[in-house]
Amino acid sequence: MTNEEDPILVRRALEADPESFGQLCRQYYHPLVAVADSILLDHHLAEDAAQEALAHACRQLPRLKKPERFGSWVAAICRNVAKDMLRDRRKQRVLADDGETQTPDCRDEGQGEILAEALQQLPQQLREVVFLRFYNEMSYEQMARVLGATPQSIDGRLRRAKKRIGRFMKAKGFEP
Amino acid sequence: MKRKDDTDRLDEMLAQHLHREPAPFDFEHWAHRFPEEAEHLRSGFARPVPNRRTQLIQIGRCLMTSRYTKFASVAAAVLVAASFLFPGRHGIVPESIAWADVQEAMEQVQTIRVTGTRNCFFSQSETPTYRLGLEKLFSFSRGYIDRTFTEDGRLIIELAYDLQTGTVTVLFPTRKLYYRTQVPQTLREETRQVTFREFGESLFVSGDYRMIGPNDVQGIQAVGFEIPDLHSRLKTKLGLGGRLVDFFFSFGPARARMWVNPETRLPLQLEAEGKVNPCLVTGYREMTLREIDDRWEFGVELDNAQFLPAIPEDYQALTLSPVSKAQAAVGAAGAGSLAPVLLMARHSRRRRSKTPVTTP
Repeated sequence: MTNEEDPILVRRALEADPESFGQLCRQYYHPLVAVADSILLDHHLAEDAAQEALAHACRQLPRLKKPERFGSWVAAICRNVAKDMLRDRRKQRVLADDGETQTPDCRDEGQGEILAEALQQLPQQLREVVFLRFYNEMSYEQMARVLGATPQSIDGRLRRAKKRIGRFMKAKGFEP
Repeated sequence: MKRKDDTDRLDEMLAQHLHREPAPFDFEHWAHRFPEEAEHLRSGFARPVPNRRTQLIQIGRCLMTSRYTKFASVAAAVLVAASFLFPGRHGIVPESIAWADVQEAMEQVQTIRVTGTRNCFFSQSETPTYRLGLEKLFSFSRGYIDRTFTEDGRLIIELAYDLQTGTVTVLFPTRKLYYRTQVPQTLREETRQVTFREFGESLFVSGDYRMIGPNDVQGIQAVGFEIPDLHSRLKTKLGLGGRLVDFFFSFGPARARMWVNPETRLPLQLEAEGKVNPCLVTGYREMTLREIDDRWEFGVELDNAQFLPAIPEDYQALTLSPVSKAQAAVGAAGAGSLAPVLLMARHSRRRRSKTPVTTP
C-alpha cells in the first residue's frame, strides 16, 4: 500500500464506507502505537492512545485538508493524545515506569536499565524515530509516511539518536 | 571496523529492548469502543460532528504549530505583560482612573436609566423584610424619576421631579394616592445649575474617598470609589439636613461604593448601605437599607412626559396628619431641600438612599 492510496481511502471513508477507514487504521495502527509508546513508555497505554487517536481522527476526518498526508496528520493527533494521557497520569501520581518497556529481554538487567534511561534522556523527536524503527522493524519509507519527513532526514535522526545513546551508555560504563 | 560493530550491537540491543509483537488492529472492537465515531463512518458523516470544547492547551498547540504564530503569540504575551507592568494612557490596560475621570465621562451623558434592587431590613435578620426592585431615570435637561416595585413587579411608588416646572410628584398606585408640590423658584433655578461635576466634587473631593479594587464586577475588572460617611457629607457639604428631608426620609450613617468600568469610565454598579432613622417612608421605624444598582444604561431615549406625570382620575391627594402638615409646612419652601436631592440623585445613586422608600 502506498501513500497515494490514502486520499482514496479517506474519500471513501467520508462516503459511508467504514471499511476504508478500517484499512487506514490497520495501516497506521502499529506506527501510532510506537509513537505513543515513545511518549508514554507504556505499551498498553500506548495501544489505548493509538485507538483514541484514531477516534479523534475519525471525528476530524471531514476537516482534513490534505488526505495524502493522513499518516503524519494522525501521528500528530496521536502525539497529542499521548501527551494528554501522560499529563493525566502524572496528575494521578502514577509512576511512569510501570509499563512493559522497563522489563526488556536484554542480555542483563543492568544494561537494559541503562538503555531505558538512555532512551528517556533522548529528545522526543529522536526517541520517536528509534521507537518507530525498532518497535516493529519498520522501513524508512513507512516511517517517512508517519513522520512526514524524507527517508534521508529520518536516517540522520536515527544516527544522531544512536550516537547519543552510545555516549550515554559509555558514560555509564557500558560498552554497546 | 570497531565502530560498525558497536553500531550493530546497539541496533541489536535496541531491537531486543523495543521490539514488540503488537496485536493486529481489530476494527470491530474499535467500532464497539467508539460507537459514535463508527456511526459517523456508517452514515458518511451525514450529521455534523459536534465540536469538542476547545481547551487552552489545544489553543496553545494551534499557536505553536507555526513558527510565525509562535513568535506572534510570544510577542503578544510579552506586550500584555509589559502593559501591566508599565500602564499608561496609551497602553492596552487603562491607567488607574481618578474620580475626575468618571465625572468627565458622566458630563458627556445626557440621559441614564438605572435598575437594581433595594432591600429593606427592619430587624437584625439577614433576610430582608422587603425586597424591592427599582428603576431610576435621569435626564439632565428634564429631571429625575425614581420607581419602586415589589418583587413581582408591581409599581408601589413613583417619584418624579420635573426640572422645567419644578414640580415634584409622588404616586402611590397600590393605594391610588398622589402627592404633588412645587419647589420654590429660586431653588428650582439652583437645581437646574447643578451638574454632575459639582455634585461629584462635593462628595468625592480629591483624596476624600477611598479607591478599592480592581474587583470582578459583572465580569469586568472594575475600579471602586467608596465613601464611608455618606450621611455626614450630604448633610454638611450639600446642606441636605433640612427638616423636610428628615421628615420624608431621614438618613443615618451610610456608606456608598461605586464601581466604575475602567474602559468607559462610567458607573457599572452602585452599592449603598446605611441606616434610615424613623421617618415617613419607614413608617417611623428604624430601617437598614441595602441597595445595589447593577444595570446602568447611558444615552437612553426617555419620554419627557413622564417627568410630569398625569394624575389618574381615581387617585386622591395624599392627606397628611396635622403634625405632618406642620412639619411639611416648616420645610415648605422646603421642598427646597428635597428638590436638589432628587435632582442630584439622578447624577449619583449615592443620594439614592434619600429617595422615598415605602413599605409595600
